[in-house]
Amino acid sequence: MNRLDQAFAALADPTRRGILVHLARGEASVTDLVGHFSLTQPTISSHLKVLESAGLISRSRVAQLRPCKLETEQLKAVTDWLEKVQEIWEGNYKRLDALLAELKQAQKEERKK
Amino acid sequence: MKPAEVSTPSDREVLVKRSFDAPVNLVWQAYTDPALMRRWLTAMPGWSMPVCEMTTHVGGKYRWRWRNNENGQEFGFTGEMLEVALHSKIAHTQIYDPGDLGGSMGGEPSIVTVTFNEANGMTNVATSIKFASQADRDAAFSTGMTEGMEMSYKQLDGVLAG
Repeated sequence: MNRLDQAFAALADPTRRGILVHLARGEASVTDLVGHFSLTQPTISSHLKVLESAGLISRSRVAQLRPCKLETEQLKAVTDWLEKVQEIWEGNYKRLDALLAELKQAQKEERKK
Repeated sequence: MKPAEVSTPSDREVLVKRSFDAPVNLVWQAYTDPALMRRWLTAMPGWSMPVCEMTTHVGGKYRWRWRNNENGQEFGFTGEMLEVALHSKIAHTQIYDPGDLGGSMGGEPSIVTVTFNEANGMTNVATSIKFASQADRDAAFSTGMTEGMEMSYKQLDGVLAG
């Protein structure tokens, strides 16, 4: 799996998405997160491991509490990918809009006859 | 029209939603008549759809193939209709045919479900692509889809620069 795939897999879990939303408000330690989500410390830690290896968060090596921080660059890679997919579909759908307008017009003229 | 919305509701699914300013019978026609379908489902800028064959009944097969207008590279999808409910739902399997473009989307076919829902003369279309496994979805993400996209974007850049 490349990092983008890992990020998608990491984002598929609601708790991990919740952690990211929480970290968007500021750095937090494992203890903070355990308190906030009412989950056990090992559960939170395993989620953090997934998020960290996907590049979605980083953890300080210096401070003793090792606060977690959101890595917005990797999140941007995910949203960029979704945007690309969106652009391709929207391109097709715009052509479909035009085709449907044509079909509607043809139907109207058919009814007039 | 409000632009298409793309989301990833689970770790092996991509969902695309869009509304169209037309009654469902016309949208259905555009999705089931191959001659109409190939006019809009051209995949990416700079590509055309030389092969669009499909029979829309349960067990019916389809074959779609796209060609790069510039270098002639091709890729496609094939599959079988699993469910066809007039004006409301089409579900089919989808197997990536790498042609000479290459890439992989995993071994197992994915399942594509398109639902149509008319309200006040507008038709809402939801397309769900469900990969057989997370590994297959990852394969699709990292090869075929993204490579194809990168390429077409490079071409688009070229066109804009020229």
